[in-house]
Order: sequence, then C-alpha cells, then structure tokens
Amino acid sequence: MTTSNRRPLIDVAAASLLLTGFAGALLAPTDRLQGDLQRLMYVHVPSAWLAYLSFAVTLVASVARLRTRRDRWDDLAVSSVEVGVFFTALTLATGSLWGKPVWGVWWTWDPRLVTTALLFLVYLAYLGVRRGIVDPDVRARRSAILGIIAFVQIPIVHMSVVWWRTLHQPPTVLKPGQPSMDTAMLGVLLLNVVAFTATYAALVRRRVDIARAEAAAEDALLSDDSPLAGDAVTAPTHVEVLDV
Amino acid sequence: MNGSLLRPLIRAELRAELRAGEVVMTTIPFAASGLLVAAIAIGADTPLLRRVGPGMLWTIVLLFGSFVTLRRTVSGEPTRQEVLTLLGVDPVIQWVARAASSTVLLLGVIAVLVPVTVVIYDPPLTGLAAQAVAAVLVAVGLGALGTLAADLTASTRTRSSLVPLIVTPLTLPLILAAVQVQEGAVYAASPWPWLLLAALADVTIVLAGLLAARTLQEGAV
Amino acid sequence: MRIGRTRVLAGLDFTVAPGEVVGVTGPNGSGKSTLLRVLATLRRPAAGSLEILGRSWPHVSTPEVRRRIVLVGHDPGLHPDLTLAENLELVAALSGESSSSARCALADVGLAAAADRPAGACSEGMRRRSGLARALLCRPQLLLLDEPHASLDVASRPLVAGIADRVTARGGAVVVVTHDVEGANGHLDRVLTLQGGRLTAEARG
Repeated sequence: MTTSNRRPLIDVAAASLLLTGFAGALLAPTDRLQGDLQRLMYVHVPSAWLAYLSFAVTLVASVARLRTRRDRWDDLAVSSVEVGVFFTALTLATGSLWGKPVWGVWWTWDPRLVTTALLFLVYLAYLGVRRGIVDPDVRARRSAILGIIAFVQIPIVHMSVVWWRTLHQPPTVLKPGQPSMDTAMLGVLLLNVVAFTATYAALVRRRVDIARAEAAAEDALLSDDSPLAGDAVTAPTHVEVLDV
Repeated sequence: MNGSLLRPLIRAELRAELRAGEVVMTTIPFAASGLLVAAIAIGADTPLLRRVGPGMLWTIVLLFGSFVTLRRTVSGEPTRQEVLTLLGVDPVIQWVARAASSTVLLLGVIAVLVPVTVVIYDPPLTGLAAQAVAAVLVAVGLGALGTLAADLTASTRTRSSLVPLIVTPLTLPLILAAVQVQEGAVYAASPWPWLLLAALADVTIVLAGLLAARTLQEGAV
Repeated sequence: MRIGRTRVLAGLDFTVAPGEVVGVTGPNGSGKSTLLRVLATLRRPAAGSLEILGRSWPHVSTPEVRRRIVLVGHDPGLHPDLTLAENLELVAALSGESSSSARCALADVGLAAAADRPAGACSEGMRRRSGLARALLCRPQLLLLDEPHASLDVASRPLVAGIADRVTARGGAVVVVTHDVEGANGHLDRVLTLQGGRLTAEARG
C-alpha cells in the first residue's frame, strides 16, 4: 500500500503533539474562578472543533462520491463519521463533566450543546443505515445522500435552537477583537486544537487504509475466473422415495 | 418528466390507505393514547397541562409521523417502484407522489390529534391561522423527510427504528416552530420568523428529496 | 455483472432480434432473473456493452425507452390493498391508455369476474395472470417474462404464448426465463442455457 511508509510519520506527529498538548494543559495557569476544572477546556474545545470538522469532511467526501462514483470517497466519508462520532461523544461527555460543578447541572439548554447532541444522533443514524445495506454501491450512494442532507440541515436546526433559547456565554475564542483569555491559556488551547486535528487525521488515515484493505481483499477474490454466485448451487442429490 | 402522472399516483396511494385503514385505525389511535398517557404521567394539574399541551401534541406528531411514511400501503416496495419506473414514471415523480400522499395523511393525523389535545390539555386557542400554517409546514417537512429516510433505509431490517432516528433530529426546527407560534400567540408575538424558518427547513428537505430521488432508485434492490 | 461484491453474470454475448422469442433456462441461481433485470434497464452492468431498443447504455435508462419494456417478474408489483382493476387502471392511466382497456386486459387473462377483488386477497396464480394483463395493456416492444408458467394452471399456459405472439407480431421481442423448455417449445425461437452465470448452450427451438 502506498500510504504505509507515510503512516508512521503522521502517527508519531499526532502522538507527540498530543503529549505536548497534554503537558501544556497541566502546566497552563490555573483559572482564577473555575480552578483546575477549567483544564477540561483543553479537551472539550478541540473535540467540539473536530466534531464539526469531521462532518464537514464527510460532506465534501459525500459530494465527491456522488459526482465521481469512486469508492475512495466513500471510504473517507465513513471514516470521518466514525472518528467524528467519537469526538462528538467526547465533547458531550467533557461538557457535561465541566457543566455540573460550574453551572450546577449536567445539561443546559445551550444551543451549541443541543445541536451537538443532535449531530451525534444523526451521525449514529448514518452509521446505522450503512450497517443495514449489503451492496457497497447502494450503501455508498445512500450514505452520501444522508451525509449531505444532515450537514445542510444542521445550520437550520442550530438556528432554531438559538432562537428558541440563548442563555449561554457567547463564543470566547472566535469573538472579534481581543480574545478575552490569558495568552498562555490560549496558546495551550491552540496547541491542543492542532494536536487533536493531527490525531483526527491519523485516525481517519488508518480507518481509510482498513476500508481499502477490505475492499482489496474482496476484489482479489474477484478475478475473471473467480466463482459466480450460481456456482454455489449444485443439482440436488436424489432423495429416495420409500415404498409404503 | 410529466407532472400529470402525479394525480393518478397520489389517488392510488390514498385510496389504498383508505382501504387498508392503517393510519386511521392504528397510527391515530396509538398517537391519541400517547397524548392521554403523557397527560396522566404529568399529573392532573390543569394549569400545567394547559402549558405543556401544544408541546406534547407536536412531540407526538413528530414521533408518530414516521409511522405514516413507513406505512405498508406506500409504494416504496422495490418491485412496485420498478413497475412504475418501467411505465416511464420518473423516480422524481414517484418520490413526489409518495411524499405528497404522506403529507396529506399527516395533515389528517394532525387534524384528529388537535381536538384530542384541546379536550385533554385545554391549551389557549389564539392565533389559530398562524398555527394552521405551521401545521401544514410540519406535515410537508415530516412527509418529505420521512419519505426520504424510508428510501435511504429501504430493504434494511432496522428500518422502522432508523427512520425515526433520522427524522427526529432533523425536523426539530419544524416542531419548535409549531410550538413557538402557539406560545407566541399567547404573548402576541409575531409568528413570521418561525414560519419562515420552518418554510426554509421544508424547502431544504424537499429539494434534497427531489435531487436524491434518481440516485436512490438506481440499482436499489 | 455483480451484485455487491458477488459476481452473478459473466461473459454473456447474445442478441435478440425483433420478432424473436428467446427462452433462457438454467439451474436455480444461475443468474436468469438478474439477466432480465439488466435487460429491463433496472440494473447497471459492471462491464461490457448493452444495447436495448437501439440505444446503448447508459442512454437506455430513460422514461422513453423504459415505457417500451415490460417485465413480469415473480412478484407482479401490485398494490395489495387495491383491487386488480384499480391496479390495472393505474397502469393504464400512467401509460396513457383508457381505463376500460384495463378491464379488457383483465378479461383477456380470464380475470373479469375477479377484477374487483383486492390484489392481496388473490391467489398467486391470479396475481401472475394480472401481471400478464399488464403486458397486454402496455403493448411493449420488449417483453421480459420471468417463469411465466409458474403457478399458472394448465389451461392458462397458452396465454403466455398468445401474449408473446402479440408482441412479436408488432415487431417486438420476447425473452422468457423458464424451467419448462419442453412445455414452452414450439413457441421459442431459441433457447439460451445459463449455468452459474455463464452462457453454456444455445439451441434453436
């Protein structure tokens, strides 16, 4: 496989970045109000970013699959969803753990939180749909359509939740003007965003490799002299009729 | 593509449903019992029930709406679709016919469940015109997305649970709009932003269904 | 031809001329029904070339071409809650025929008295016959029959040959999948034998 010689490089890069990010998260200054709890941010924010990034990658790959009919795009789409669902779950879990001591509740009706939970459910459905379909081409086409619809509909869903209720702190990092965060904290956060993104890339690459290896193994069985479906059926052996 | 084929198709769908009575005899009573049980579970607290009534109605409509798009009488079966395809009916027309008949049936479901809600929960009845528009928008979006989800999951064994799982999160704007229009009417707030948002969601869903119809039918077994 | 990652048909090369009735036979699972679905433009061949009614793939999958093809499969694709007449009337409405022609077609296959029975309450043989009625009603140029004799009573067997004759008389072609080559013989111009998805024999009828 052509990617095998590059794979260790990205794995090593992701692992070392992740370690550095983790060290940074431990060494970063303590939040004056929230104390050490605030360190959850270094996992929560990069995970949330990855949730959106991975589903955006799936959108692009789904459009490409429908246009080119190439299976590699389907491999990328599903790999990105699998990794994305993991990080979405991580976002929800860390958010909940962070929310309980700080806000006093496991769950708040913050629009971003609600939308993330809905994203999680929709992409679980995406994986569920894939499991049920045997034919790889039908599966790829249907999931591409779902991958597109889900992503296109999500902004509307998000807008409806925002209108429905806004009681949450506005975005901190993306706020125009001076970011209202300690420079050291911000640096560590950005380091972690890079580290998580590298981890995402490494995981997706590995998952795509697995998908390709599976397809290649199946295709290897499919040479011109490989058996056809009908070869599995032979003439029945005679069943003797007993004289009664 | 010939739109005049739509009428006989929709008529056949609705006639089959009237004959089988699946929605009328099963889905609607089941949904109504859901409304009743929810009220009992909440407790016989009249002011509270009055407040949660519309939310309950639209939750039930959302949850049970998937059953309407998955009903047995819908021509979603691959062999029936193939017969239509070989009659020269474009998959887009077939999709529109299925989504439209589901929408009509959903409107019927809503039309029965609204009086049930009024009787059990006694919500304030104001701004009915805007609420009627919201109900139509919900029916269109649910009918279209349910039909699309049914196509996406055709011939899978877990279809009956996958369709609600796809439909429920993505139709949230419709349900929120319906509830907020009702709530807004109580405080004399303008329903227009919500109606527009629901219409935007409907347009997205219907466009997706129209664009996906041919791709979905090709080689679907 | 593949379904998923399973190969079903391979190395098929044949032509069906206008006016011809071609039989396809072979053991279970040899790909006969899949072949019919490819000919009906409902399945895309993974490789090779395909020309149907003067058009080559992928230009065959248009409503204009499809309208000239009728496939009567194992499942006739009826709305079980509609009567046989309503089913056929829908077919008539969609193919621009009058609704009275739907009842005529049902009468031709001997179902006039059962026309108002729901399709779901009809026996397998009756449902099969109403599939043949669709073939009469639509007047196809390419008629594809998948084991048309299955579940038909002996008296109805000439019906299949009669319908095929009508198609060929108009210059159309018929492909019949059948296990009963002897029974259908005399009506078949040629018989193709499929074995495990490959063409193993071709005989003049």
